[in-house]
Amino acid sequence: MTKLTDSVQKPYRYFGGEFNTPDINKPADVRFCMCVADSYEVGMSNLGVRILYYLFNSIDKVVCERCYAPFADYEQYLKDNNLPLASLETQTPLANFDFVGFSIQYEMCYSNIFYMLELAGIPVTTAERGENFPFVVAGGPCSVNLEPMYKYFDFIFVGEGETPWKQIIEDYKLLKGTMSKSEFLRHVDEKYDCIYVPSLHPSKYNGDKVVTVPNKKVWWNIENNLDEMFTPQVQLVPNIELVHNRAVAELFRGCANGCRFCQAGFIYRPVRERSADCAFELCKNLLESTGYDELSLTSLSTSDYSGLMPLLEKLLPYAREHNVQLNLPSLRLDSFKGDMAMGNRKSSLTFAPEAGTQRLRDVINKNITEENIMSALTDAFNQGYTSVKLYFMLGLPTETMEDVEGIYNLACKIKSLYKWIKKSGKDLRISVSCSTFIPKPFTPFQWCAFADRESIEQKQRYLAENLRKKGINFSYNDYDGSLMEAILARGGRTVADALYQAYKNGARFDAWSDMFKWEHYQKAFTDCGVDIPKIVGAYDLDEPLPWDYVDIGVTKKFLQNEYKKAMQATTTPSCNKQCNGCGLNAKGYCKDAHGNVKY
Amino acid sequence: MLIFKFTKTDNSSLVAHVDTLRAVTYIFRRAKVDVEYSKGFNPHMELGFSAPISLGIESVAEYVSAKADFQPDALDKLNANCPKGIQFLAMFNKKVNLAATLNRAEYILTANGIGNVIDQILAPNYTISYTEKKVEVQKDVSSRIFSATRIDDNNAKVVLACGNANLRPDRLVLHLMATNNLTGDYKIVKTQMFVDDIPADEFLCNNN
Ligand code: SF4
Repeated sequence: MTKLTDSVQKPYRYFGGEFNTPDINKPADVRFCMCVADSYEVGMSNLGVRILYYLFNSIDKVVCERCYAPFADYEQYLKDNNLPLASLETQTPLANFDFVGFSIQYEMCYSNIFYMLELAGIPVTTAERGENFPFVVAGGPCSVNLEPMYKYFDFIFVGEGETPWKQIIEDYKLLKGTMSKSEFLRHVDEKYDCIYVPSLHPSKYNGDKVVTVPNKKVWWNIENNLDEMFTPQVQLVPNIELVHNRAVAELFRGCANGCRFCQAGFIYRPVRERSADCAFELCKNLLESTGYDELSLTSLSTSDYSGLMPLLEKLLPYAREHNVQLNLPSLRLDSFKGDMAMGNRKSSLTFAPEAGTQRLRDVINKNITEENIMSALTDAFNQGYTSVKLYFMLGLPTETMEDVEGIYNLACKIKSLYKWIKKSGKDLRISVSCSTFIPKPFTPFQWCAFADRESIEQKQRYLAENLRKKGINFSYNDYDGSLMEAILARGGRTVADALYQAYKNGARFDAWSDMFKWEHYQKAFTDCGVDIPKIVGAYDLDEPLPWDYVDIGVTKKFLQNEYKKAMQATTTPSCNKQCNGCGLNAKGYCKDAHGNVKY
Repeated sequence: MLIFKFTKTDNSSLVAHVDTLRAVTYIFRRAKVDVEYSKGFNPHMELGFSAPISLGIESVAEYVSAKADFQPDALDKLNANCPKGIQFLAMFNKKVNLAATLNRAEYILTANGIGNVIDQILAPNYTISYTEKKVEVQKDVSSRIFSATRIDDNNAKVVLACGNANLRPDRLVLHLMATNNLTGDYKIVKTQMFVDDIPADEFLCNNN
């Protein structure tokens, strides 16, 4: 062990031993290794893994362990000692599991999937693995379009997993030994509409454009009732510092706002709330079982939670009594109320207007006005906030230079507002951060093109020059990284070979901007003859899309309508005000007048 | 003030000191062993630890003080809430600044052949070399070595200074291995702490 500590940074991250680890030494017929293709520190905060890990371990004769992507020093250690990549809990080589499952939260981790499989000595493609290796499977938000990785996964679970996954594992427990791997794949493909076995459903391409999409309609699974759904009341407590060491309680799924750029806002429809009582119990149980002194309430838009007031009535006194700090992230501007920031350190406020002018905010359906922003900030400044972070996107559909100037103007106005309120004292600390918009599948902008390099870099230059003159901090995403994410999000099967090639060229940890190297991909795309403009360019509204085989319950017609409304800068109200007929209503959701809010 | 003696072995020996502080805080909170919080902007639990040990060294003699009243069932409650490698062994009732007071530690060193060369470290002006922040350092550590005993060929027992005038046992072992061409893996276990010549447990039992 000691030699390990001399050559490897923070070796603990490869061995686990966290408090609240379930009984992994029980007799097991099924062994599942849950993987996140990122570091331990990042992967440990993955809520989906947390849920499935406890779910699987709660099943009789099933054991689930974990594995994360090692850094280069531990990769070297494994190679020097001739060790394959193994699970944390029992150091079992990945190849000895029944399932190796990747929870895929973002596209930029694909190269690490190859990296982990190769370190584990598992062939990367389904075809090469044949009958002799574990099932390599995937799930998570990226399952809406994993066509770029189609030949590397035996099956893909599409949607939210709590209910069907349990059944799938039970099936396997029963059938293991009675059928071959390929027979089991056919079995689950037939039985579950949320399971996709890419090798059973061919797809035809003409160049990089899809002509025939896979012939199975794969249903994005939606969990119906958060109060009754399997919800772990405990959380692993790592002994090393993570990005955030804190308890995390999920309040609801879905988002009522319908921002047109936001993939999560569409794929996680409809809004499904936990009741305030269940949410409070969850918070309390998580805090007590972990000992954490920080709690984060999470959802896509926490201030929209209709049970927030009844929850906080119980939670605030509890937090005070037990020295717990509350974090209430992702407050939307239009529902920001001064008293909701209670318990937070009064330092920095984070707002995401996303676009600089009202016209463009209407295009993207971010229903916030400049007036909302100013009045929320007036309250905040009066309460003593001294720092503001603003998030915007560049390259949104229909964007012109006027919209970009709008970002600059808004930041300047906020600066003067602060001066006017404070009269004296230190300046407001204000930072503007601009990401580059990526048109993602299953949003109304899925037909739009990803912006070209020249226009993005020109806008970035304009803001950098002008904001810095005003003493406003400005940061932005590198174009190459965003382009890569766009290719991975929008690509079809034709990019699959190039992705593996890029890994061979050296790509890994692409989500870490200091590790990402576009050259690895550029070379692979050239060598494999991938036509990038075809992939990130615009689609016609009636053209087939590579991801058309997935059904998220929101109809294509609704998305097309939203697209048309966007082009006319017409907004669509929140689902909390009215049902906009996205298609889920036809499937029996949102039967109450006000969406699915509970209070 | 309560003092607890605990182990840091197994996976927990791979955890750095700062992270151990946090991990122990969470144990106290889970166990609902009441400890006072500091006042002020950023309240934290009033805990004080014995001197840190390096990553990878196992220990069965770590100490933490807690600003708390005597609680008879505290040990059981804590032990029900420990991660792998941390176990609470004893509880004392005494007011002590642990890091400043517990100034020596006993270690068992294990490496191929180390028992046969251990008496070298008792030489006058014994000097070790190591790199710190990429700089090669030569240091006379003789004043920080209190005893060295051979157990067998591959095991030795030493008592070294710790705390303010610290001597890291891993540096000592690596130097000894390098100068005697000893190869292979090595292991260090911290077995006891002292206040000068008095074993820490004895010192902490004494209520004056
Ligand atoms: S069915 Fe209506 S209320 Fe429900 S998510 Fe769709 S548009 Fe919103």
